[in-house]
Amino acid sequence: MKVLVVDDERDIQTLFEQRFRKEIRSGEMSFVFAFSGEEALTYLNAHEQEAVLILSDINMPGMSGLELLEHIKAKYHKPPPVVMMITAYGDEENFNLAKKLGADDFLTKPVDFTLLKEKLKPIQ
Amino acid sequence: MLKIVTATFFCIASAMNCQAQKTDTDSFRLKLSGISEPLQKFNLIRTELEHSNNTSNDVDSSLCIQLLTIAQHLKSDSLLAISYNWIGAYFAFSKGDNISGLEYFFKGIPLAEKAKDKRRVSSLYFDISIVYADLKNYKSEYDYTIKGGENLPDQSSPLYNFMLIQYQNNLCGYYLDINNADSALHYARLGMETSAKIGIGLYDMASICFTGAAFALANDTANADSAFTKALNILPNVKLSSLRTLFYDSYIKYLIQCSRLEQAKAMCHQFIDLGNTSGSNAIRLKAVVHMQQLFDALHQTDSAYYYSRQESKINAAIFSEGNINRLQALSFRERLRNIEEMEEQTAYKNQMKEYILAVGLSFFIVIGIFLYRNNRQKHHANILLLEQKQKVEETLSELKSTQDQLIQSEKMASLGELTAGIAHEIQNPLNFVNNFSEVNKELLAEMNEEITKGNWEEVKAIAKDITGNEEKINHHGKRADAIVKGMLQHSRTSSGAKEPTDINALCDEYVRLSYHGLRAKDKSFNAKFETSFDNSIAKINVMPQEIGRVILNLINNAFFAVNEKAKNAKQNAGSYEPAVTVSTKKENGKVMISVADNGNGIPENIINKIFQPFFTTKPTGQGTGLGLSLSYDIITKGHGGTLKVETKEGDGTKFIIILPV
Repeated sequence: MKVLVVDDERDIQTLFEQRFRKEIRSGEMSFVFAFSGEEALTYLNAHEQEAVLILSDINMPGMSGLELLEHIKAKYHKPPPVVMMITAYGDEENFNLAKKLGADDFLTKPVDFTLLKEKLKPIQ
Repeated sequence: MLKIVTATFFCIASAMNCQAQKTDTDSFRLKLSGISEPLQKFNLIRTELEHSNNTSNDVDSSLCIQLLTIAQHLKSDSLLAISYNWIGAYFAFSKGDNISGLEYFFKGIPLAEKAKDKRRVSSLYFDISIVYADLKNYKSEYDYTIKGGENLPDQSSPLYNFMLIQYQNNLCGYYLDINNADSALHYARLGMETSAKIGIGLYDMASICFTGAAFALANDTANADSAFTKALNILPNVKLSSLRTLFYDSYIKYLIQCSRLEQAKAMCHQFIDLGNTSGSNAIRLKAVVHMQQLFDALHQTDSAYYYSRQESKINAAIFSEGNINRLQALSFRERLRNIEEMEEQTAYKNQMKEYILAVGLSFFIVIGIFLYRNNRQKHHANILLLEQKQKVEETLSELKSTQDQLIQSEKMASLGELTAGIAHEIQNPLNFVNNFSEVNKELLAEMNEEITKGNWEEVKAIAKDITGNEEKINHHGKRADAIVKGMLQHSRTSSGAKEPTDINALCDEYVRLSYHGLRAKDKSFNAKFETSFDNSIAKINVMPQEIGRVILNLINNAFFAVNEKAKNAKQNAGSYEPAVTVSTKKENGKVMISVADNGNGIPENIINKIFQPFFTTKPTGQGTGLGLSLSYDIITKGHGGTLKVETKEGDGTKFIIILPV
């Protein structure tokens, strides 16, 4: 399973690689990182249907996570990939908006990786 | 009863005059027609009344009417009181109508009191007292004499003794009436003393007669004799018929009392003569009565009978005279009523005048009230305006304090609105801190396994990862710390006081601070900085720490901008000389501080956002986004200045602080 992680925080790559190092080592999962919404779209255009899961931060400079979600769900990729939104915003408004735009799940920072892994299991 | 009723009306002038010959009526009329001034006329009539009264014991009613008319015309309380006194005397003493007399005397009293004419008040009371004596009401005689005595004029008044002697004579008469010889004698003596003080001898006769009568009452013949002898001696000098009557009346009574009948007979004849010459039936009657008593005492029945018939004749004459008098009195009353009616009419006219005046007055009052109301309304309006002004002033000061609070609460509000943003800012570093520390825990467990296996290469790799993670934990921990500190700064109430500050020195200090700070952090950093200070700027009143923070912030930004451009230039091998210029200038009473860089400038699409809290163009984690927001607040709200930005993409940015002096 290929997972696209979109976040403007560079350290997110190191974190994911270390958190999922067993899964990466075993070849169960592979990760691709994009550090902005625009970068994520570029990747998706180039590698259609490759990423099964997209984890996206909502608050990013330039294209926000929600804009990216809208792009993916409304205009791109059939069938649309599973999109989980990860955000520091724990507020209802963002949650509802994300749901409305078609987000499949919702996680808040700091990310509970145990919970994330459990959510990923059924998709695999 | 022994009274000198007319004594009441004596005044000095008339008393002197009446010693002379009888006033000619015609000459009086002539005199009167020559006078037009009412008061003079009044006084002339009064004098004439006194004259005729003193000589004939009679009061001329037509003169009374004239007095009253003038008094009413002049509307004088004092003159009215005099007029009523005369009218009362006319009724009581001239016509024997005591009741009508009393009516006018009493009418005169309040007027005399109102005019504060004490002499007239006492005079009226004495007359009333005499009327009561005639009615044999001795109690009232006494009471009104006392009242008259209470109202005697001041001792300094020239009339004092004239009124005092009347008082004393009245009292003496009263005590004779009630047969109290001692008291009568006492007041007769006092009267004598007063008469001596007056000095003209006029009253001597009355006092002597009263003394004689008092001694006679006390059966002291020696003293009575001596008194009456004195009286007999001065009799030729006494012209006043009333005084002569008093003498004959009391002396004959005494002579008969002590049976000196021959002397009494002689006196009686003289008395009858007096009656004939004065033409007064009242005197004649008194003389005839004495005659009759005398002949009764002499037992000469014929003569007694003769005088008894004389008495009847005189009585008849008096009776018919009384009828005539009554008629006269009636017509007099009629005339009086006419005058009073006229007075009423005048009063009615006056009342009408008063009504008209009242209507006019009320009209003016209405206008007055209207004006007053207008004035009040204006006053009210003024008060209202004042109140509103105060309100506005209050509101203004409230607004000012609210504004101050707003400056503070806006910071708080912006914080509140941005809680999500703050959460994001803090949660992001926390995300790394939490997760990297957990990863490290796992890595350490793995490392232990590898150590047990003796797989040292793997152990080394894990250790490297752990070290890297630890660095990240540290980095993100500090990041969170910086964010929290920035937030606190943002929300903190600026309590710094303004103080005179050298802006040039402040700028210089912070430029160096910033430059060396950046150099210490980043060895590769280098930039040219220039300062251009306007030395004419005196110290200005600012909060130095706050302004320092702004300057530092702007300079840091400038250095950051040029450093970024320098990095890019290095990558692209372009020639670029980073430079930051700090300058100050005084212009139009304002101080301008500008911080200029030759960096990349600010893109147009974000220029409106640069002062918003948490907005930053720096890579995530390097800036809190609060620097310019705080600076903006410090300059505009803290110092009433402006913070402007001029920028051109690719050429650089210039921040300008403008502070009022």
